[in-house]
Amino acid sequence: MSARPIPSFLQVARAAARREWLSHRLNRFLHAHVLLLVAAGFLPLLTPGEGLMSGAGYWILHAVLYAVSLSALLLGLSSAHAEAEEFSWLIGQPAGIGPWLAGKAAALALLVSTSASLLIVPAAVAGGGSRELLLVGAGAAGVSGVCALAGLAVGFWVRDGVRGLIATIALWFAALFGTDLLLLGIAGVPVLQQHPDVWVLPLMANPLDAFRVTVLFSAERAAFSGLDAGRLAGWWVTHAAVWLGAVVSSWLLAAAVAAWLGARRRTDG
Amino acid sequence: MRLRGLLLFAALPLAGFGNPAGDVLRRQITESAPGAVLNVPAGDYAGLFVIEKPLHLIGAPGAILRGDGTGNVVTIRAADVELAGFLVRGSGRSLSDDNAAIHISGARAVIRDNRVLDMLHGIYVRKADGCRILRNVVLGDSASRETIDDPLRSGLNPADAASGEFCAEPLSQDRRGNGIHLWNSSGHLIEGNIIRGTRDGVYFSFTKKTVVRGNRVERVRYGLHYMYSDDNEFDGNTFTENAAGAALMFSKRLVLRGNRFVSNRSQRAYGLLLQAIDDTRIESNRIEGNTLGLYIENSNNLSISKNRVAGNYVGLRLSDSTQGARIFENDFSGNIHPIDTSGTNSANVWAAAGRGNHWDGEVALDLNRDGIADVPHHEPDLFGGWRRTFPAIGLLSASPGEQLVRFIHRRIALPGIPGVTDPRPLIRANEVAR
Repeated sequence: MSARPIPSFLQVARAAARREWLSHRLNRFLHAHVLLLVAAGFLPLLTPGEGLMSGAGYWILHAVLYAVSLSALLLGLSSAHAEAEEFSWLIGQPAGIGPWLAGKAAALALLVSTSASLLIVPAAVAGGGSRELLLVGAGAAGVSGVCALAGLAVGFWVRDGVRGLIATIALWFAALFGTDLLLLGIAGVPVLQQHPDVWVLPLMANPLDAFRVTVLFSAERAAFSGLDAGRLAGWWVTHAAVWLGAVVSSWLLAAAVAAWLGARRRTDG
Repeated sequence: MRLRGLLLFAALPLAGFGNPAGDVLRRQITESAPGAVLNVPAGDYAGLFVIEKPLHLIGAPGAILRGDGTGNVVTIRAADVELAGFLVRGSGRSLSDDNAAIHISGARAVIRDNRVLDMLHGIYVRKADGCRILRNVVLGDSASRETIDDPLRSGLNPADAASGEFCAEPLSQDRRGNGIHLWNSSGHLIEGNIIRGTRDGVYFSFTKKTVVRGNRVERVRYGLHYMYSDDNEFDGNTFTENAAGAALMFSKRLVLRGNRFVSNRSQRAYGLLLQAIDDTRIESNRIEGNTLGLYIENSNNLSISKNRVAGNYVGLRLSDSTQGARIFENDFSGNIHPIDTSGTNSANVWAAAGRGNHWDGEVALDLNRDGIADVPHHEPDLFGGWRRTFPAIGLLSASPGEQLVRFIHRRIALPGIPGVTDPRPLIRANEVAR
C-alpha cells in the first residue's frame, strides 16, 4: 500500500479558504461587521440633495477610520482564535503551515474587502455614484483587508483571548491616533521643519492616513493649500490614489508575513 | 425728442457692397437727432461704432455689431445712451489701450440684454456715472481654470490701481480682459449679468455708490476684483468656480448681502478675501466649498452675521491685525478647519446681542433651552502659524489625532493653542444662515 501524496500548495490553500468561508458563516463578528457596513453605507443618505455626490466620501472616510477599521481588526483576531482548539492538528499536517495560512488569509482578506462594497452601494443606488465614490470604496476595501490581516497576525502572536483583544485595540489606537499625535507633537522641531519629507514619511506609511489623504484630496478634492510643503508631500497629494494602492499592498503582504511568523512561532513553541 | 423706429434700418444689412450695413448704421448714428431710437434689424454690422450723442440703439434678435479686431467695437462718449439686444464682438486686444467690446465714458448709459464675446474687456466704464448694466452675457475666450499666484503676494497691485492702469500688470500669457470693468465712477446698477471665462469677472476701482445685484460670475480668475471703492452694495450675486474667488481691498462702507461665494477651489483660492476693508456689513452670504472661505486682514469694524461658512478647507482666516469685527449668528459647518488664526483675536467679538455662532459637531448643553449653549465654545486652530512656516502640517487635516486634540480643547481650552472663544454659541444654525 503506497503512501498518499502530499497535497499541493494550491490544494491546501483552496481547502483552507473554503474552510474559512464556511466557518465565517457562523462568526458573530462577521455578522456584526456586515451590519456595521450596512449602517455606515446608509449614512451618506443623510446628506441632503446635491450634497450627496460630494458628501458620501466624507461620511465613508469617518466610518472607516472610526468603526470599520476596528471591526475588521477584531474580525481578523477572531479568525485567528477560531482555530485555537484545532491548531495543533492543523499545523501537524504534512503540507505545512504556509499553504494553510495563505488560503485562510486570502479568504479572510477577500471576504472583508468584498463586504466593504456595502459602504458605497446605498449612495450609488441613491444617485451618488461616481468615479470618486468608487475610489473611496476601493480604498475602504483595501484598508479593511489590511486591518483584517493585521488582526489575524495579532491573533497568531497573542493566542490568549483577552490579551489578544487588548493588543488589537492598542494597535488600532496606535494606528488611528498615534501617528497623528506624534507628528503633531514634533512638527515644531526645527530639523523636521527644514526636512518636511522626513516628517511626511510616517504619515504616508500609515494606511489609515493614506486613505484619509486620498479621500480628502483625491476623491473629495478638498483644495489642499500646502502643495509647496515639500517634494514628497506634493507628490503624495497629487498621486494619493496610486500611493494608497502601493501602501495597502505592502501592508497586506507585511501582515500576511507577520501572521505566518506568528503561526510558525506557535509551531516551534 | 425721441424718434421711434426709423424704417430705413429694415434694409440696412442688404444695402450696397463692402461693409455697407456698418457704414449705414454709422451714418444713421451720426445723423440721428439726440434722443432718437434706432431699431436695428438682424444683420452683421461691421464696426467700429462711436456714439457721441444721446441715442437708443435697440438691436433685433440676430443683430451683430462686429469689430475689426482693433479698438473698441462700440464707444459711448455721450450721456444717456442705450445699447440693447446686440451681439457685440471683435474688439482689439491691446491691454495698454484697454480695448473693450463696449467702452463707456458717457454718464447714465444703459447697456442691457447684449451678448458680448471675442473681446479684451467686455463692458468698460471709465469716468462715467450712473450707468445701468443689465442682463448682459459676457463670454471670455476661455472658461478654463488657471494656476495663479496668491493675490496677496502678486495678483493685486495697489500702485497699479491708483493709476488706473490695471491691465499692464497681469500674466504675460493672459490676453483676456475683464467682464465688466468699472473705473473712477459712481452710481451704477449692475444687475442680472452672466460673466464667464474672462480674466476677472467684475472689476472695481475708485467706483462708488454702486449696486451689484443678481449677477453670476464663473470660471474666471477673480470673480470680483475690487479696490478703493466705497459705499457699494453687493446683493444676491454668485461667484463660483473661479480660480481665486472674490477679493476686496482698501475700501469702506460696503454691504455684501445674500451672495454666494462657492467652489473657488484652486490652491490659492478664496471664497471672499477682505483686506483693509472698514465699516462693512457682510450678512446672509453663503461661503461654501472654497479653499479658504472667508479671509479677513487688516480690517476694522466689520459686522459679519448670518453667513453660512460651510465645507471649506479653512472656514475663516482672521488675522490679528483685524479689529472691531463683530462675528455673530453665522453657521460654521463642515469646514475641515473652521478657524485659522495666529492668536487669540481679542480685538474682535464672537457674539452680539447675546448671540454667538453655530459650530457644527459641538455637543453643547442648553439646560434652559434658550437656544444658547450654557458654556462658551473654544474653537482651536491647532496648526496656527505652522500653515505658513510648515505647510506639510496640512496633511494632518481631519486626522483622528487632530480631531481628538480639538475635541479636548473645545472643553478645557488647552493652554498655548491659538483659537477663538465664542461666549454664546448657538445650539442651532440661524435660519437665515442655513
